[in-house]
Amino acid sequence: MTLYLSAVLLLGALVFSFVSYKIIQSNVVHPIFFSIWIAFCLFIISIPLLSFLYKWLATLSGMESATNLIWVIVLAYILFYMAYITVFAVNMYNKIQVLISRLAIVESELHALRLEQGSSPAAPDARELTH
Amino acid sequence: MKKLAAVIAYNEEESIGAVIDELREKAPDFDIVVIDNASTDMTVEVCRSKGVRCISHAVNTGSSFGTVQTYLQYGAAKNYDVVCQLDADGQHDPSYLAALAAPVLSGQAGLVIGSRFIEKVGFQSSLLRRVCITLYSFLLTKLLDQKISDFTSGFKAYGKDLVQSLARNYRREFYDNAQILALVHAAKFRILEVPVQMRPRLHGTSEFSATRSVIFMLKASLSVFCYLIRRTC
Repeated sequence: MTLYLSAVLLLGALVFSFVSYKIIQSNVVHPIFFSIWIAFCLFIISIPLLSFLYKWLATLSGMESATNLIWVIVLAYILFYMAYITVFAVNMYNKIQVLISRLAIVESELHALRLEQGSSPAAPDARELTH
Repeated sequence: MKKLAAVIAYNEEESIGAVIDELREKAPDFDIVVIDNASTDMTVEVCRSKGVRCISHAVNTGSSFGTVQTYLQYGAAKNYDVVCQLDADGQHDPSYLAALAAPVLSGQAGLVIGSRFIEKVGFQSSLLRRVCITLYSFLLTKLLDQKISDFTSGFKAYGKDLVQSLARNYRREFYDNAQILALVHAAKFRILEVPVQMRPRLHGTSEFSATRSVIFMLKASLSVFCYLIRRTC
């Protein structure tokens, strides 16, 4: 890797890391996601700085070039991240489903209580608030 | 014995009133609750005008399986001895509720399904849907080591222990009836079928068009495949 290319890559990596850091810093991000993105930024920065290490690892693993190794790492990261997000989304969906059911049941109990007490006017139910 | 008839409804303002009246006439010993999947018509208002408890979702949960979660949660919370599911389109005759509930209450089974394909009388659904159901029943029979002739039937009765178990463990990835049956089977509850006669819808059209029936079967097959993988690994 030429000095010029290394410098351009390093600058790009630093800009990417700075922007990513600002985004995750200004939002409430779960520590795991925070750590994952910090690790990825460090990986991006390490490419121009530690190119000799990636060359050595590529030779060790029998790959044609360090570029292939870097692409493999990036793809592996994306796949693991997607798998994690998938599991996370499904769990959230299940929790939302439970909340929808519980909310509907509680709301029906409140409606029954209001009818028993003969209070009026009835407060708007959740459907009216969302439509 | 506390008995619950849970009526699943989505935009059934034209038929829900008749269903409630028929339930009161033919199954007076059942408490009635209507699970409304965020209808946009007057379904909820019709239910409330009849003095029936209506549990209405704030947002539509897609297919009817979100409503299953709701009535299971309700049945578990209120400690019902049997929870029966009916549709709000008038296809299910409430006079069969006693036959559905009896094996559950006597402890013979944890889940009783009202099957229209045992005696093959009454409304039998469209040809394509019947073909899909037959193919899928074959697959399910292999999975459960038990013949299930009408796994898509929405006419069911759940026992108390099963209701409590499903209310704790129900998951959205249990995409369809087949997965629920597999879950029931895995939890060592006995599944029984009783013959029922179903009727055509009172009003409107089924959500299951020809294309949707095929897609449903493909997705249901996939969910059974996933269940088999989980069970094996």
